[in-house]
Amino acid sequence: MRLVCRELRWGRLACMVLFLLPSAAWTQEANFPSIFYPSPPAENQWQLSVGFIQVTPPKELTEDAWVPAPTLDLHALYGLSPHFALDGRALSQVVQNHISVGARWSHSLGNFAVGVGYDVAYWFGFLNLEGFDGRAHGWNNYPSLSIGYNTGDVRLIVKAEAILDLYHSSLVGDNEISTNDDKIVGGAYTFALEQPFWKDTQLTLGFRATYTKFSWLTWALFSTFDQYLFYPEIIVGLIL
Amino acid sequence: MRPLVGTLLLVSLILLSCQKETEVVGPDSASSLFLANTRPLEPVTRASMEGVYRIVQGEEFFSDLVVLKWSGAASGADTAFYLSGFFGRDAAHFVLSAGSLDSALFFSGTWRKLMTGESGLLRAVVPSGSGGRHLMNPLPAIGRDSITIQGTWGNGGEDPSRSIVFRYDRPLHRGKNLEIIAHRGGGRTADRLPVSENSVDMILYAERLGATAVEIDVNTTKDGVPVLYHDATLNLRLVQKNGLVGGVEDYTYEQLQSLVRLIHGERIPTFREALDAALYRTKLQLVYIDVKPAMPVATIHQIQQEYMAKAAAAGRQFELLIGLPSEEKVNEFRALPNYTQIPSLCELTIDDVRALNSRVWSPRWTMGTQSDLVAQMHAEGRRAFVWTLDEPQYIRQFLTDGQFDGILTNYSCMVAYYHYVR
Repeated sequence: MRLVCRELRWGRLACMVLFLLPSAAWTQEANFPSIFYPSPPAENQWQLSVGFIQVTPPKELTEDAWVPAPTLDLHALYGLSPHFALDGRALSQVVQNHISVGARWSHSLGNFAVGVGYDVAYWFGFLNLEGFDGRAHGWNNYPSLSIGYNTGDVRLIVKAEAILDLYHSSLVGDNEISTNDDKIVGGAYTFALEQPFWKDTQLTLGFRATYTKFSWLTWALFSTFDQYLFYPEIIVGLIL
Repeated sequence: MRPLVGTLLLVSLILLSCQKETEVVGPDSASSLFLANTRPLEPVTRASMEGVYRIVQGEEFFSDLVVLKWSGAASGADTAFYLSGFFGRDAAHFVLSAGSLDSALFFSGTWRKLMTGESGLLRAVVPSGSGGRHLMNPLPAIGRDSITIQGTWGNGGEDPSRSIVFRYDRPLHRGKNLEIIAHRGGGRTADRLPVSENSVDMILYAERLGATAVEIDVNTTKDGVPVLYHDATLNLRLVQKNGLVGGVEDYTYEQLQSLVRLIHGERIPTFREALDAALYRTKLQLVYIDVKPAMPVATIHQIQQEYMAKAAAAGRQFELLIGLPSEEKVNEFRALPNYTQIPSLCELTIDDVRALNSRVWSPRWTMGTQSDLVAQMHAEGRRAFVWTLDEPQYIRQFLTDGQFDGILTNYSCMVAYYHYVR
């Protein structure tokens, strides 16, 4: 019962975030800064976002034991030219972390914009709790394609990504294993909206649907399923 | 604005509600036709067939080697025998029924890959001139390449038309005894086995997956009946849709029997039904009793004594170990009279194991092989089982580098493969 109640609480919280926060928004000028929308910041300018993601791992892995924990999400863009930007992102749950750096090319076509990106990520985690003496790390790559639509008040984004697991390794006690199959392990679709929120800030709300055989967030579960499992993810960010 | 947010929410809910359906193949009617008119195999034929075989055709999908082993499941006076094959990739295995006609041997059943969820039909023959005649001999002379098994298999619902051929290579490894302890009575429901976890049918299936022992989760009903159920709640992972909320301890045994069915339609079994199945219908040597929080250890101990007496009366080597996973359960255990004489398995530290005089120390596998501590346990005449190890590379390492006497796993077939090919 405790687990059910906890899930309901998170569900209610998610609904409140999705429904109530946007209603507090003001209409501002159309050309507001973005993070997911495929439009780079001005040349030599930074664009920063702070927020969190909430991932629910598949029941096949967690069964009835999972403590939902948000992941801190810091995202930054740096404008290189009117079409190019550097894209950096850090995700952290303290005991497991994911840092990515990539490049993004984007182009506007009226109210639409399109972007192509490639991110290289390093992740690492460690667990030294009762019954655990393990750590792991690995390299993932994420080629992506984004399409955005600008209504003036709101920017809508759909992003498709492939997930490449280039290498991962884990160490349990003195025993180490690694894989370097260099293969596509899954893909993800992100549906997001960005809109003015409070003073000079903008709000990002998103949902990322990931189907993958391997997720860095669940390395400690040592999944043996060679199957595409579904990881729903809620994204909330504040663009500063 | 709200319509946009609503659309986003709707898309999210649709995606959240998506669930991939996977076809799980079971024996078909053609299988029984394939074995029609065949006769049961003699014990000597079955025993002679066991061994490690090289796969000379079909290895790209399965693996280079396959371990063949027989098991049986009794039903009244009859026993059905099954030939299992354990492969070294994706926890692949097959379970076949068998019979002989003239001097040829026929096999039919299903194969399954637990890691990928794939399954299909498999049929095979040992022709008379490819080992069938040897195997039907009262004193078979078996050597390398003396048996060739020619089979066909299909993926999913397709007819078996792809070829697989394997040849006898060597006997099974018969080194130090290793308990292959199947989790949840034999395997997890999440691995799409044809029977539900913690059911009587799963316990009867465990040996076909390579297990020599089983771990079961014992919980209690509202009226104090010990039953097998793992999770804290009645959820769709384990039971069919029924509208009930809460755990098994919120319902009487009668209510659970009438309202709840496990994923594959079985009833939630009582602890006694599970032990009856393990003791009288299988050759399993050991039951690792995982005592869930609401289940009193004293009740488990009473039933343990009852079944140890039954096993002795039946002349069976059958060990029942009370698993102690937490301080709370250890304290309950200590409250029992002469607790140091009660067969138990402790998951805490080796000091706890000594204080309780547990027969077995059972650490989580994520602590590594811990060979120095295992050696200390051995020096004191105790054993060490590691739980719950499923990752193939680590299974291989623990078997090679570790000194454990048993491995608790969801993939008995994988542990059996790595153990018997050594």
